[in-house]
Amino acid sequence: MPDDAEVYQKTADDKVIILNPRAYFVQGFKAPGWTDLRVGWFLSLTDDTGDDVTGGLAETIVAGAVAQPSDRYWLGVKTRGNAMPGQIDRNSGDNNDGIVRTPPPIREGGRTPPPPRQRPSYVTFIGFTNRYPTGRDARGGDSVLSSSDEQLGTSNTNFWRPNNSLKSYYSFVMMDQLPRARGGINGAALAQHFPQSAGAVAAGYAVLLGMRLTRDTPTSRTITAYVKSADQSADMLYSNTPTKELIRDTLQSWPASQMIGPASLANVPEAFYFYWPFRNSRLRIHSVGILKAA
Amino acid sequence: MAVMIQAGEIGSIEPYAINGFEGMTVGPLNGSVITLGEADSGDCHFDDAAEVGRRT
Repeated sequence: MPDDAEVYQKTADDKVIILNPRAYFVQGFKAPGWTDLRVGWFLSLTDDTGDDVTGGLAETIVAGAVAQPSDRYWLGVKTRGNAMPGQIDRNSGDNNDGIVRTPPPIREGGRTPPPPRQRPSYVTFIGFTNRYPTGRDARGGDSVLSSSDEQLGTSNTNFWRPNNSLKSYYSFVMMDQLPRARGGINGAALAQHFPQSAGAVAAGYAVLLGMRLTRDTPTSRTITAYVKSADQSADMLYSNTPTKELIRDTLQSWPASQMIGPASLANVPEAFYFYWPFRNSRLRIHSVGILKAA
Repeated sequence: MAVMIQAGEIGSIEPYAINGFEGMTVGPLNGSVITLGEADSGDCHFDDAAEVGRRT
């Protein structure tokens, strides 16, 4: 079986993890008691074999008879474990919610009681995806990676834009068993653009995506998301130096955003989650960051 | 409080090597664990390891 990921030295200062097709990356984090949490990550694409090839990535995964989360892309945060959004997560962890779950006391002369059981629950996910944004049935629309110009020109060769074939603004959800809130509207699609043409996207080969999450109290599971929104795009910036310092500096001053939610969710996300369903392209992870602003 | 990781810091995957990192180890790749370098700031931190796996 081929490896699930590799490491590639893109520049002297940029060593990249490249996920192989249909591989996932889960990175847990702790930010207990947050009420304003900002996350961001620099990503880019390359083709299925070359480590630095941005041409010829277009692909369509036709929606099948059975909805498969693995045929959608997922870029965001979720509960721990390797279950995918829409699936039952039997290891939800302690959810950053500030609730201490202790085992019951041992009864004298009695048997040791079992530890408290985590009630299985559906994966909670907040982030970018082309899943059909409402209802239990996720089959709506094909998974597509399209060539795009992001309104920078008319060549349609500047970027790669993952999308749902039904609507370009099926681009962001907050969900557990079902989507509880959706982002993206016609005219403000929250589309994500991965640089394709170095000439047209001189600012850089990697795109910074991110979101700001807020909740009223440190134990609340009702969360509001804010995603940068300018015209149809959620891209925060492009850079040839996709460093953690640039993420930190960018997250500190949050830009004009689209508000999604508030949504009451089964759990609170506590892991970065990146999954790319396409077979002609691979996702490159340059850097990730968390800023606990409050 | 902020914690940031750059990919070179996310870890190393055999047979590749990453220089300049402390506390970094290498795991087998399929369903692998990637061990982190610097990733801690106050009460906000990354787990010691990330996981990579694959869907069919």
